Formats: sequence, C-alpha cells, structure tokens
Amino acid sequence: MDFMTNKEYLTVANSWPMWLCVIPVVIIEMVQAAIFIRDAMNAGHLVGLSKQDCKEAMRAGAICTIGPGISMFTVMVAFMSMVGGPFAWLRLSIIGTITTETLGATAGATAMGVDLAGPDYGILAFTCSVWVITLNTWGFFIVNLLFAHKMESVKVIMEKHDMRMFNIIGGCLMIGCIAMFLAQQCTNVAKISGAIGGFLSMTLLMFLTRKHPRLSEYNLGIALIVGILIAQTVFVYVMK
Amino acid sequence: MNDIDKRFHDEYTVKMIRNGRLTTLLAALLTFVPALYLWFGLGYKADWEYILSGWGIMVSSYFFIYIFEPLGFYPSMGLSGIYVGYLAGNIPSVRLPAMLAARAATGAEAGTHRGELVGVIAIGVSVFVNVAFVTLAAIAGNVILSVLPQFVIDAFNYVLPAILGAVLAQYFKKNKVFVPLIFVICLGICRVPFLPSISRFPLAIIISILLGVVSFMRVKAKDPIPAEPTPVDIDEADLE
Repeated sequence: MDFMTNKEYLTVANSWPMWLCVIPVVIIEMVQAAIFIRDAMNAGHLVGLSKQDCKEAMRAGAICTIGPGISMFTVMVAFMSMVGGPFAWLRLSIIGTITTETLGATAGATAMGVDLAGPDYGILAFTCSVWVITLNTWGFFIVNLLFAHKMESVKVIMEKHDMRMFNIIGGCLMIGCIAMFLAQQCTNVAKISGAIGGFLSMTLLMFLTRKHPRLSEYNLGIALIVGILIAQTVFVYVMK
Repeated sequence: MNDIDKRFHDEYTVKMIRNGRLTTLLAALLTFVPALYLWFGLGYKADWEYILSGWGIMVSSYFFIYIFEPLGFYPSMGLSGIYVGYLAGNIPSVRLPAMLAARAATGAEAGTHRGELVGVIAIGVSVFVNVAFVTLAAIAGNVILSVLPQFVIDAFNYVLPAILGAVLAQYFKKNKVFVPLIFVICLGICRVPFLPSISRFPLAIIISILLGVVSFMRVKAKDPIPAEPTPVDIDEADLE
C-alpha cells in the first residue's frame, strides 16, 4: 500500500533537495555544449571557418531554439503538475520529450497498478516513475557510449539489410505500445473525451500548419490544452 | 585520407570523441541521483519487481528507437552532433533545425568537416537557450499553477489521454490502416476477462511485431529492392 497519496508526494517532489539532485546533470550538459563549441571553433581554421561563420552559426542555433523554447511552457506546467518542478525541469532539459517522459512515468504507475498522478498515486509510485524514466533514458546513453564512435562501421553493416524492415516493424511496435497505453486509459467518458479531443485537435493543427512547419512546434502543446479542457468539461458537466 | 582529413581527425575528432563519451557518461551516471536520493536519503523506493516491469514496458517499445534513431540522424548530424544531441534530446524539433539553419547561413554542407563544425556550434548554443527556456518555464510554472483556476488545475489529470490521442494522430497521418487496427485490438485486449493485466503489454507487442512483419512483406512484395537506402525514420512524433 502506498502513502502520501492525493498529491501529497508533491511536497517531496518539489522540495529543495530534489533541486540539488537534478542540477548537476544539467550543469554537465552545459559543460559538454561549451567544450564542443570551444573545440569546434578552435578547429575551424583547419577547414576555413571564419569568426563570422562561427557567429552566424551561433545566431542560427539560438534563433531556432526560441520557438520550441516557448512551446516548453505548456508541457512544463503539465509535467510539473504530475512529477513536481525539479524532476520535470531535469527531464525536459535532457533527452526524452514530454511524450517519452509521460509514457515512462505512466509505465511506472501502471506497474504499481495506479493512475499517473491519480488519487492513489503516492510516493512509492512516484519513485517507480522516477526509476523507470531514468532507466529508459539509459537505453539512449548506452547505445551512444558503446556505438556512437563506431557509427560509420555500424552503418555499413546495417545498410546491407533492407532498412525498411526496421522502419516498418519498429514503427508498428512504437504505435502498438502507444495504442496500448491509450487503450488502458479508456476507462471513463472524461478520459475518452480527452483522448478524442487530443486526436482531433492534433489532426486539425497538422492540417492548418502543413505549410508553416515552424508553427507546428506548438501543435502538441495546443492539442494537449484542448484535450484536457474537453476532458475536464465532460467530467464536471456530464459525469458529475 | 588527405592532409586536411588527417589533421582534422588528429586535432579535432579524437579529442571530441573522448570529451563526448566522458561528459555523456558523467551526465548519465548523475541522472540516477534523484532516484538514489529518494531511496537512501528518504527511504522511498518501489519494489524492484514494479520498477523492472515498468521498465520492461518502456524497453520493449523503445528498443528499436534506441538503436536505429542515432543511425538515422548520423549522416546529417555528424558524430559531434550525435554526442550533444543524444544528451540534450529534442533532436528533430530543435537540434536538427538549428544545425540546418546554421549550415544554410554559412553555406556549409552536411557530411563535410565544415558542416560538422558549424552544426555543432549551433547545436551547442541551442542547448543553452533551451535550458534557459525550460528554467524560465519551471519558475513561471509555479506561478502559473498558483493562479490557474481549480477547473484548469484539475484538467491536468487528463494530460495522459490528451497527449496519447495527439501522438496517435501524428502516427495516423502516415499509417491510416495500422493505427486504428492496433488500437481496436488493444481495446479488445483490455476487455478480455481473466487476462491478467500484466500480460497486456507483451500481448500488444507481439501482435504489433506480427502485423509489422506482415506489412513489411507486403511492401517488399510490391517493391522488392528499395531504390536507395532509405534513412531510418521510426518516430513521426518526436520522442527523444
């Protein structure tokens, strides 16, 4: 049996020691970025990269991040409300988008037999979500650490096979898991309405932004808001 | 290997790989700190069987993505881009556009040394900008959560179905038959009486792989040899 249910676990999840636990990772991430920028600039003379080119590259990098950066606000608030500020800040700063991290948090909750951030979701379920999210991201890290520097030879081996096989089967697997996560959510009218709201608004948004790829960055955030508001409306006015 | 290639390799690539692996390993190890603090600092940890079963769900859905996504991004990002991108994440939505914009601004091409350096400078800057936005969002998030009406706060209970509905809509765009088919199958699996809920995910995964194999065979029968090696492109819906 879990305790600190009914969102009481958030007092731990939002505590200042949690901030101390998450800050080092993001510091290392920034140190890595700084080292890579410095070394790339130092090596620039080998390939005729001017100071002006470096400046242009920096500017382009900064500008391209503003749009997605703004779209962070919606998903951040949503994720914070479930796992608390520090952990949400960490996970949205490093690899794993809101979708991946929400699935990880849900997988942890599902294993404990409760709904993510639901009334029965307590401190132990929270730790389960934290562990699952952390271990899941290690999949990316391990492949990166073991194979990234050998990527050239891995690529040669892979291309001897029909790459469509990995695309199609990998795609089906991913969709199958997302479909299963969603199917398990379809337990009441409010949740089903939220899912339909998310689905329809995303479909509409993809249609509207098909000619403006930069605007499509906001699709997920907007679809999320539409979905949850529809679900809550149904909950308040239909189910109650 | 000509002189420039050799100097680039000796003066940049060797050091870059060492720094990339070291910083990635350090950051990856530090991601365990929150989970370990909850465990040893506060004494909260879910039983391993729950953590492992939640992790199992994630690994089975992400396994292909761990391995094949870096391969898919490698040709356009270069090795330096892979190191920064696979720690910072948000590759399709932030890192790749930043690299492409920087290359366009400086007239550098992907797959060249110059393109790699310009790209990594842009991606490095994007890390800092992204962290700034996420931090701002975390601070603003607390304020936002404290001023939002209760109706909206309660609506956050429905984040999961809304996100999953939206993500499924992204996949549906390119998989008009498979997405509804597997979803109906998953709904069916959830309704089967006496089926332990722990076996739902494995069942969905097995069926997805089988359907993936069938659809690969159909593609192959129609067009036995792909015209050119297709890049790996599993996720329509930014996951890393």
